[in-house]
Amino acid sequence: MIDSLSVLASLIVLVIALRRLLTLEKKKPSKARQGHRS
Amino acid sequence: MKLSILVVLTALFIFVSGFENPAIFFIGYLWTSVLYPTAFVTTFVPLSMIFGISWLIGYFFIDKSNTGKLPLVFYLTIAFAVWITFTTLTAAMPVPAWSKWNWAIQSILITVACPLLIRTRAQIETAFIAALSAFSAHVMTGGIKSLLGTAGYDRLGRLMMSNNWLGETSTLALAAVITIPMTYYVIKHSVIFESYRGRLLFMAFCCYTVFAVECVIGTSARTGVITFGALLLFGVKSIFRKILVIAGAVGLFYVAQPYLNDKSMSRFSTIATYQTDSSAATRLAVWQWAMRYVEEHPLGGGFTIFTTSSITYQAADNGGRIVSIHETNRAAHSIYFEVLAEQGYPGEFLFLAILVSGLWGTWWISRMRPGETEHAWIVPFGRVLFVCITLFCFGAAFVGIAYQPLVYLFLGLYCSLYRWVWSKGVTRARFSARPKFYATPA
Repeated sequence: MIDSLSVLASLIVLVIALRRLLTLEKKKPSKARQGHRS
Repeated sequence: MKLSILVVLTALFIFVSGFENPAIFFIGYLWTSVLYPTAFVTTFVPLSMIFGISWLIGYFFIDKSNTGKLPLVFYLTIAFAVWITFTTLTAAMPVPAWSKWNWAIQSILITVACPLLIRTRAQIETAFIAALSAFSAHVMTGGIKSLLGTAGYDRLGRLMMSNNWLGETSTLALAAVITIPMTYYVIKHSVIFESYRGRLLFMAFCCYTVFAVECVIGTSARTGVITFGALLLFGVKSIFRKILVIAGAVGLFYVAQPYLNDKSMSRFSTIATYQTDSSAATRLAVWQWAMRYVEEHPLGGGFTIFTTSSITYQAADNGGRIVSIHETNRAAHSIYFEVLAEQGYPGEFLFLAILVSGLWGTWWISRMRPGETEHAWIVPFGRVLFVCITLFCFGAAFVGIAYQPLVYLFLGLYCSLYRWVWSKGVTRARFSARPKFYATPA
């Protein structure tokens, strides 16, 4: 029970982080490239 | 079974997300390397291998526009990987040596692969969080079970009940302490949890710290106490704060002492009387054996050479009398002596150079004064990596985990950070002994 809850809590954190990464990287790909060119 | 489904579903989510952003394949690889799910669930398929192949293919599809310089650690790690392959070719016991090489090289190559695949701030922080998430699953299990009273040396209920990686109590204690500054960075500075930042997240950090400290107590591992001392000494900024936090920790310890596990307390107290403790005496004897061995074999004996160790030491028996004990096939119990005997003087030199270079590089970044606000995160991130590598150098002096992924993932993230810093031209900003952006206790 404790094992499952601990793993579940850690997996929730991971999934939130991955979803946020996808959102952030989707938002400004062009801006990143512009920054690199300048 | 439920746990297996949870882990497999998460792995599936990571795998599908990887097609959108191939860097996620590597993040999945890091996550499985740290979590080690095969030790406690049935994953049906080898997740680590799937993510490993996926990031290798994914490398050709990632956005390579962010091309900064790579740090010295990157090249030293490649040299170390080549050297350990050479010593395995000439190993005294080739069969077990190749078996250890097989997993050791996978850990070491994390440092090499990380800067090639993880290139943006969001990716660096997500990789950091993925590792933290994997560590925290083990630490929380140990911490909660210890709170509920199943503590004690080798008795603590852990996620992995085998005696390797985070199933080994000293390694678990070391990881538990390291996750405290990692969590602090995530709740305080990470762009990933920016929208959740606030009192609730800070409370979650406080709860997690209690579990982590309880996990250290539950393991009864003296390595954890030493690492925790190093955290108070190096993890807290400014002399005033250091004194305040150390005084607070000592005060809290005296208040909580009657409620702490007796077995753990009695084991911790042997730090002061290590001369008569058999576990400590074994360590000293095996380290002396390693030094003698490398004098005769300057190029090292290759992996698993410690199985040939033969030591004699003096320790107190049950009656308290000091007796002479002879033992064979003892583990290294220290990364420095593990590398010394297995990889010889050149391997030890490379390994120390990697650690020193990583420490210097992360410290250097933590003291920078970035001109732009969007570059400010490098200061606390450099600081947290510096603290984590420092804690590893202290704690792992008493555990043989030189080839486990723990330090290589921090060094890999340092390589990614260094590359990011160079690609953004942050290095041109003024360098100062006093940082502009205070990282607070990282």
